[in-house]
Amino acid sequence: VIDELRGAVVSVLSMMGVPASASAFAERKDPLHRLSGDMAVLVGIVGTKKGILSYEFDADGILSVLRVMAPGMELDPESEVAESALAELSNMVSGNFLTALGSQGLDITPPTLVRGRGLLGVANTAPAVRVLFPLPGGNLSVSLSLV
Amino acid sequence: MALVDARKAVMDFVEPLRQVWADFTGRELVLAGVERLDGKALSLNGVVALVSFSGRFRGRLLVNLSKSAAGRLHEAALGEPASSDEEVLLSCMELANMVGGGGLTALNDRYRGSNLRLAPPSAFAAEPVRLCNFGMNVFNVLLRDGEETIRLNLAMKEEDAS
Repeated sequence: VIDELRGAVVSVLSMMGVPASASAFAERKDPLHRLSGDMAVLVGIVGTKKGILSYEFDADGILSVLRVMAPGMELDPESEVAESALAELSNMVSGNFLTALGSQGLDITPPTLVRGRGLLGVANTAPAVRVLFPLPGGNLSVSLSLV
Repeated sequence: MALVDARKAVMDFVEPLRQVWADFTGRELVLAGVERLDGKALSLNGVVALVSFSGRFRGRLLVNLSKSAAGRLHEAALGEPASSDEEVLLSCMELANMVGGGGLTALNDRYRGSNLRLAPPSAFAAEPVRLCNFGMNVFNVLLRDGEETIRLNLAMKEEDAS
């Protein structure tokens, strides 16, 4: 499952023009699906399995993605346009991930972007696998928890 | 063709919230108003518990309450004060899960074959928590327990549910 998640992230980022190295992943298991940064996009999974995918971009990772998605524009990372782009990117990765799993009976929920200084967040009570993707100048951390 | 009416749908979550609140705290929540929110972003103080759902139509429900109200909810539910902020979040996640389940049952009954299903609940705390959803209509229901205001907020795509 994690291999499919890695593949979906790399595939969508590459399609958007964001270089993501398939060889530089770091992976970690957490007993609880916590959020660790000040911003995350959450996408739910429903159906024969239930779960949460979380996409946490650090500040430099957000800028890195926005520069590629909107070349020549200096977007405020907290603007609605920027947040919409990050939510859509997360939605596309989640859709590709479910397609790659080939699982009938699974669906995703709409992305919700959550942000807050010093945000304390629990995305799911189930254990999570967190995969760190180095981006040019920043990082994207994607976590998956399934129950 | 029947479109899902988000303003009507949000009311399906009110009774489950009032019921769960009464079961947990022994107190009554009083309906104080319904408002449609413009814009895609919400800024909320305190604790926000969220459950999203999908099926023939998609959306998410959130329950927002102050940190003190969330702490009292935890204590009432478990019989002892929380030892960490994270414990409070976990109690609020359970609240959102129960309210979401009750509301979706009502929606599935009204829109037969919708097959609406809940994702696991999440919860957040910050001052403020900012949340954004895109391409959905958002309705807010305010409920009061004494001086405390509890917000029930539904964002939904009003799609064909015929």
